[in-house]
Amino acid sequence: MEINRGDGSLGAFLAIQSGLVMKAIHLLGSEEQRQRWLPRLARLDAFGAFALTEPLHGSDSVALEATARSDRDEYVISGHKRWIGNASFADVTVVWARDSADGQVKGFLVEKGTPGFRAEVITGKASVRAVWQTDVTLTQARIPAGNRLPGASSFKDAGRVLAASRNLVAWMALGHALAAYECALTYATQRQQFGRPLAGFQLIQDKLVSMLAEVTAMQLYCFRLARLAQDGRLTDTIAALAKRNNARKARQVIADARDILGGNGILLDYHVMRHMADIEALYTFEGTDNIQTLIVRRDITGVSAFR
Amino acid sequence: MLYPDVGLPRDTDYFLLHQELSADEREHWDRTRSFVDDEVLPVIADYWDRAEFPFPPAGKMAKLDIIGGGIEGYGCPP
Repeated sequence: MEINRGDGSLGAFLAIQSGLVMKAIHLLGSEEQRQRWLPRLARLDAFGAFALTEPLHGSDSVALEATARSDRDEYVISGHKRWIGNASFADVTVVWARDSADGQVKGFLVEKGTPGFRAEVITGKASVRAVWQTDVTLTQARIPAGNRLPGASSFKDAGRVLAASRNLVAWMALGHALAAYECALTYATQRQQFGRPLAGFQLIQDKLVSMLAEVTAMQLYCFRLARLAQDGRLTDTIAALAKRNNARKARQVIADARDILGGNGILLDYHVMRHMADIEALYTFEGTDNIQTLIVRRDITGVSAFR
Repeated sequence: MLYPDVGLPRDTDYFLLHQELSADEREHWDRTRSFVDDEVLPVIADYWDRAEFPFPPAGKMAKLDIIGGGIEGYGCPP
């Protein structure tokens, strides 16, 4: 949360490195893979990337098209991935591909320098600009069979990694919202118009209190989520409701903060505009607002509206 | 900048949730906060503007013991 109070791009980088890559290797990797990668990733002696999303499969990544074919003591992987943070410099990329032997989605560790692996930074981003997200192309990339994650035998296992990190996203949204609220509060107490601080006007006060109410509620969501996670009781529907709430509320709090900062609110120096741009990525990644809604509605009504 | 204090942390915690944290957890949180204030906020707008990955501050995150926090399962703030 503190990292996202600082910056969403760094927060995204951390979520990828720690929440996705390390979690995948820890949950689904062999002991040898864990020993080989986790300590280095934790010390940032190695960088990681997590390649699940494809140009044609975002929310429906369950239908991903990248393939993996067993060939003696290797796997041959081909396909396209999109929005993959860190992949242009990562030492290891967790690539999710469909095993041609059984049609199941599995996880594979593709190391830096593997021939047939190419990652190009996506340019022209107006959100989380300081994290390099890439288009990844795998063209008959060969990896040792020992680089398959043995615990990943179907898409459900990729889902387990994602579910574990959805908890983080609620905290990330809170970080952005807190940053914006606090910037707005400071600004409103210092800037004067018509002979008094902005904070002396009732409309501004009302706005600040509403923002505080939302931020406080988001904090409660986050703390509860943390305790449930600690006790092993956090489900993906709980995390989905939290992400939905916190991402929506953060977006509104940040917009209100930008408004309070007036013209200065569009300057990067005053931070809020950067958070406003960055919350857009967060609103969509790790499960869009619509998807979080469908997940929870399916849970409470028993009826799926995915198709 | 006319209002240079904008961006400094204000410890917003209206329902006193930080008091639920253990001393260790609070120390960990404070260390991360200081890192953000000292190493990230002064430079990040420029990296963002230039769409450059901030390798120097990112590298320093390793010393905070926050990478791999997700593995323990506790929602330690990233």
